[in-house]
Amino acid sequence: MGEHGGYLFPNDLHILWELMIVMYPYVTGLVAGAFILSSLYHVFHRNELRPIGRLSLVASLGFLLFAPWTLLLHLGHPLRCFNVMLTPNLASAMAMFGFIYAAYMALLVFEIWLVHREDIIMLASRSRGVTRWFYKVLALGVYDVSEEAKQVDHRVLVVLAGLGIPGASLLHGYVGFIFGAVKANPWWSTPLMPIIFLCSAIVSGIAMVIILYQIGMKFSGRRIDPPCMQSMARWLWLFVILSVTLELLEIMTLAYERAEEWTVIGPLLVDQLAFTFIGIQLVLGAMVPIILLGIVVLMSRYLTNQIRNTLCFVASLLLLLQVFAMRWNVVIGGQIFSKSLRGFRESHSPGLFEKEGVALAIVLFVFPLVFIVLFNRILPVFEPPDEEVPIEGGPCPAGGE
Amino acid sequence: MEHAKHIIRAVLLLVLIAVAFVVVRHFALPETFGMHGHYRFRSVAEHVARAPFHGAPGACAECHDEEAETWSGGAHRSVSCEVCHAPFGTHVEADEQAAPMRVQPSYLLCGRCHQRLAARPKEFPQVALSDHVAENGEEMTERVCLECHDAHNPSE
Repeated sequence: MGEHGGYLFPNDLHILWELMIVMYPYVTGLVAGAFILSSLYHVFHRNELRPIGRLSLVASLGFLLFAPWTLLLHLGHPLRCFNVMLTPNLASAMAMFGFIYAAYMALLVFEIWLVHREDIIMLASRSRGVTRWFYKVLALGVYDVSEEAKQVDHRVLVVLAGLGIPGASLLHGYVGFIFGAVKANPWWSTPLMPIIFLCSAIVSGIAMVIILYQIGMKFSGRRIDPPCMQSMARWLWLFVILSVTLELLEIMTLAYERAEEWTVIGPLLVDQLAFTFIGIQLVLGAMVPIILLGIVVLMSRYLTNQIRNTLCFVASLLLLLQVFAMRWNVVIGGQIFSKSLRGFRESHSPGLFEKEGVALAIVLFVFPLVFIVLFNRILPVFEPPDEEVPIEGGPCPAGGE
Repeated sequence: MEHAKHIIRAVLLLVLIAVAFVVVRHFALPETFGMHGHYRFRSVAEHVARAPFHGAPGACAECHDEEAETWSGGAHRSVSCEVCHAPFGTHVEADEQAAPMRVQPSYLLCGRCHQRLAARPKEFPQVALSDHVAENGEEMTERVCLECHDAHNPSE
């Protein structure tokens, strides 16, 4: 037993929501963020984002496939997992997860299928034997790639992507809602929670796509599209500013009101969570990337492609860390103080090989990446290269602005 | 519609999956689920039909009257026999001894209640186990608590 500051009631002593519950909003956030980025191209026709139009959808699917694993590992009893859909308790926010998840999965798979339909048909016609049958089944037996069919695809795609935006927002907004609706926990209970979660989800999604895109281009020996990178940096900068502002506004409101909960939330932030909150969530994970992305956005004309890519890559890595720290501070931070505002338990550190340990969290994070690589072997994740190639190392074009 | 054949097939596939879910749900749902609330009503009858496995302290006192007397006069009188011993059903079947009663003599069991913890009321007897053992010149062995305390009446 460790040392504890202040006083705790027995029901405050244990941390029941551990690393897997930190991973859950983190992974679903990557799903929502990557999808919203893809819809900027598919719905809002930001054509400079064409190179990541497919990648962001496939990344979204990859993380979506593994999001429920975090809950399964946390809860145990995997055979019971379908009960949330077979016998849903409609008074429970968690019961909605199964339905929102399934509907979003159907929509996403449908959209990815439409985006890749032409490739599926082309691969079906080029391959032989079992592979040919595989692609034929994927094409649902229809090989119509006429201009009229493509127009139908495009129209349906816009509708699906349009529906997907509220879908992705609901999927992640409800994760924030689950925390925000816990009335007894003053660190969670705020109507801002779904919005904060959603903004940081978009940040993590864009950051993840930037990293995957750069690595993908590096390995396939192709060049990173400067207008695309510039545009992603701009969107990322916007959302990280929005996200950090909302996170700070919530805390500033609490600090300014000085209501009774501030007696524990104040020390929680500057003492118990000093490293993960001040060190990572605010300074290393937010201030540094805001400056790096600010350089990319405001000083674009002075940057070479290599410097822009490096700045974006480093900022994205730090932002992935920031969003993880934010999830950690919410989930774990909300469980290390007395709900009667009397004191703290020692801060929590997960083991390496436990059921909710670090090793398993890393494995869960790597699985979606493996999925993307495998998907790329079946269908291309990256758009075919454009004909127009800007001069390497030169200043960035306007980037569709 | 001529060029939307693939869309129609995809939508039909989705409808098929939704119908499959409804069919699977129909067969997977327990018959009495939801009859009187959000649970399987038949489970109530199933639980009632199970033979009791635990016994009240009075059941132990029928044979172990000496221990029961010591226990009833001490601070542990609110702690049921089966907290430290195994369940009654592992020891007695049909009023006959079925197997020797197991006992957990380890300091780990004592520590569950008496290890110092911020979440325990201050007046509750609690010690930092290793310090307490060292202060009394004992070695940290499994039965170390029983060297000085009688578990049936720890104040003796």
